[in-house]
Amino acid sequence: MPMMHANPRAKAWRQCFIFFAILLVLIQAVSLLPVRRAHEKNLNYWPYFYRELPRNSVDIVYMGNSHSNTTFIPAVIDDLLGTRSVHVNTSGESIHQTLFEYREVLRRQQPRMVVMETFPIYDGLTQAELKAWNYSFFFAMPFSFRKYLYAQQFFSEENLLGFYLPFTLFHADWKDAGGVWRRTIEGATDLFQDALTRQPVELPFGGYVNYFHSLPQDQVSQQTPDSSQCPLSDLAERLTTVEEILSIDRESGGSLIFLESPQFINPMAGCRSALVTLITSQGVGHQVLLEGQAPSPLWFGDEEHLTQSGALLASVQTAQILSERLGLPIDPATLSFYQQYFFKNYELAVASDQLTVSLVPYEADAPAGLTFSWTLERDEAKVDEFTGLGSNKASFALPDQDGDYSISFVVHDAEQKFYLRGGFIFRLEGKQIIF
Amino acid sequence: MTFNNISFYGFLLAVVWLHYLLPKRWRWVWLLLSSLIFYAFTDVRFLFVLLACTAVSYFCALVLERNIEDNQRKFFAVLGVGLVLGVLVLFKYLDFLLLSINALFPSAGLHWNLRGLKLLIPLGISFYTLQAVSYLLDVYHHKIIVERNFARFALYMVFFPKLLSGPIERYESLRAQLYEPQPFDFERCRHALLRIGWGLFKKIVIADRLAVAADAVFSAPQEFAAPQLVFGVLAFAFQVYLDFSAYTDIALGAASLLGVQLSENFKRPYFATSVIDFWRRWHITLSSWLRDYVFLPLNYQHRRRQPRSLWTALDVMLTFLVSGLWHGQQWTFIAWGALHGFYQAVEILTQKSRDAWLRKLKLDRQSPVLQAFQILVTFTLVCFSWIFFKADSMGSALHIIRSIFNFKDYASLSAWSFTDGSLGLDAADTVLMGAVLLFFMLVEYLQEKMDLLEKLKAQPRALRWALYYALFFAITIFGYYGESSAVDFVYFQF
Repeated sequence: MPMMHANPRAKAWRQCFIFFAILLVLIQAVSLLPVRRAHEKNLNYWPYFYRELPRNSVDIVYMGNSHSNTTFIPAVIDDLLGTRSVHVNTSGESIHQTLFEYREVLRRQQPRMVVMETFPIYDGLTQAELKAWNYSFFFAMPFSFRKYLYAQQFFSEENLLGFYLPFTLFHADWKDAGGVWRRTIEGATDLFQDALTRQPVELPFGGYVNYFHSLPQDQVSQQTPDSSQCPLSDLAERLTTVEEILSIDRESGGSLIFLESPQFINPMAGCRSALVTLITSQGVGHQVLLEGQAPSPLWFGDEEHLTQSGALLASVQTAQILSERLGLPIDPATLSFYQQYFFKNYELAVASDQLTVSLVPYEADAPAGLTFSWTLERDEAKVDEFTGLGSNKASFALPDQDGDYSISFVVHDAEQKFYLRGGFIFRLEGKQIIF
Repeated sequence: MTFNNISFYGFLLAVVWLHYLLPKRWRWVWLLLSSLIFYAFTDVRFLFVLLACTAVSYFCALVLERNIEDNQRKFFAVLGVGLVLGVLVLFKYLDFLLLSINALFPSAGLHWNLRGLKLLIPLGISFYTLQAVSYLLDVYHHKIIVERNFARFALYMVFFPKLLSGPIERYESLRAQLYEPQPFDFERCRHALLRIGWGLFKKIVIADRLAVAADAVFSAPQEFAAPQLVFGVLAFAFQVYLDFSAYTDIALGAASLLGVQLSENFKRPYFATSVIDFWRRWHITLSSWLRDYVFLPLNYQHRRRQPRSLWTALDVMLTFLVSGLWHGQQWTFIAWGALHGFYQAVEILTQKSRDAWLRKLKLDRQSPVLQAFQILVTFTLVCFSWIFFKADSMGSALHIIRSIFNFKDYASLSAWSFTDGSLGLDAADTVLMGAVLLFFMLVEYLQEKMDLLEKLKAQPRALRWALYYALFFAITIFGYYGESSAVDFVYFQF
């Protein structure tokens, strides 16, 4: 019987298939850690959303970029309204990216309310500025035609390379070979352990991020009036994307509201009127949080982001807004509980060899039931500490050594149901405070 | 859409896939359509210029094929060539000519100011106009049979792998390949992909890094000392070679995927032992075009003039003046071309005396030491000419030359600083650039001595595949892209 010779063409196709299959496997293997790193840099919002969060399990979703995740405290809002809420954000995202994320939120969750913070409309990373964490949403999406369609629509041609070959996002790291090696070992170890122990992806505090240290007091004098001019050259393009979002909202039954986180200095204030005109003309709500209140350095970590002190005020106000919209009553006792944590400013002063710090409440007797723990640190080493019930003011012996200091505080109620955390950074030189 | 954009590879994949799916008789139509789509995506504004040149060449060639009198044939040949070159002059040289005339007016006591049109230069115009001219002249000289099908002729003109920066193909070499397609062949496609990968490696890993240093030096030469200027010149010498040869690799690889073999454009030019040899190895299709359509006709005109070598030298000089002008609408390019013409003229005129000296000194032409010396001298001469090619102006070029010969600078240690960021590259990038450049020169040297591709084919599959994967990851990891902006191919500006 003659020997059967393999068809050379079929053999060639087989080799071709194997070659590209191996290449694909290599790409996936080399991309494992960069993808994980991209997710971690974005606090794992999207892996949590896709892998851990059950479908149709939340009532409220907060969207936007870092302005959103430093403004809305899900635990507070949920306690006030009796809801379940979560953040889905991408740090620094523009409204063009929010559009795609919004579609996915509606597809998987159908929340009663989507709270969209407005800063992605005014700012956000352009295509030339995109970072690795901007890819986290696209990486986390399950394999589907939609995933690739969204990527093709969103990313510029140059940035598409980072989507198809994730390891190229950090390709310049080859210059730090030692760092790459160390991160690879650490990352591989973590991956292996996670796989063994089946660790779920966690999203602490529902995705809320505490911008810990408040602005220095001297920032008050540096505050400039908001400009009436809109500096955005591409405002029209951004508003077109907002129109698309509004259209999707209409089709899905109308669950959207735009809330604007307050800013200490707001260069985009001049753009607001065009946005508000568009949004309200479509019957969608828009509100600026803490409007009418003079911004306090206590509430801001920088010109744009709230500290937990500011976020608490904003979150309570958000709950009140959503309460009206959703028809969910707020328990007065619960509201009072959180209002006792409201502080309008802080003071930091040196007098008679004493360093005094205080949180200024709205109501003089509000802090009476709260425990305050104060810690003075120098170069992250503890120098002194003080804890007292109702002690919204603390004094420390003025340190002799010049240097960079910080004071951190933790405030909690007797049942330890809620913790308010924050801090102040300053420099001591010649027994004087320099911010 | 250029060869270093990801969209080009999506486009190429789609074109190749459909090409082999279609029945053979329709493949050339698909190539024509995809070439027009390619140009439209790259620069739709000037598609009409490309089609106009195509139409003029086509119709004039048809007339030339008719049974008409010689002076009528000559008229239509001149008309066709004139119209095509006229388009090139209009878009590329008009403003330069007017600026040059304006500069002469004051010395003649006139104070006119002729205004240019400030037209953008259509991509690929310098290349496809030369192709059109070669077609017309070959038809005129009865070297080829005219193509009567306009669409088929258009495919010759617009075939996308060679459209933007060559190779400058003759009609005869492409005719059979374009209209009688090759069947799919794994081996050919494998080599094509390898060639594309090698081209991307040269461009993205090496050339784009060299570009940073070269651009830093040539954009502000007054800020650099002699050693740094030399570094910048060397960087440009390798950048322009790697960049252009990378483009050619990708063009030839893309064409090969479609079953079309385009002409080689480079043959390890920095191993040339004379400037004449350099031009047999550098931009081969351009130099052969210049030889066939400029030098030979000129030399034929002067065939009876004596001394022969002097007139040949003069014809070479004129040819390279044309070459310089073709490369760009600035005096620096003309100076560059003139310098190469001068080099070759000297080589022609001194050939006999140099041969006599070699015999006197009993030196073997094949001696490695002599060849190394010749390579070094040729490389130095070519690098010197690159100063004019790259400089913004004659003043800038002369400043660089003066500074390079400022020997005091070489004694200063700080002048030898190449990794402090002043040249735009940090230490890691500079070291990597040096290492891969050495690797590349090693590959060039080995290719000069043997057929590396055959050697590679003979290796075990595991080793070959490992090399391919290494090439892929070398490009994607060590490539100079991302935060640094992508650098266009150098020859696109022509």
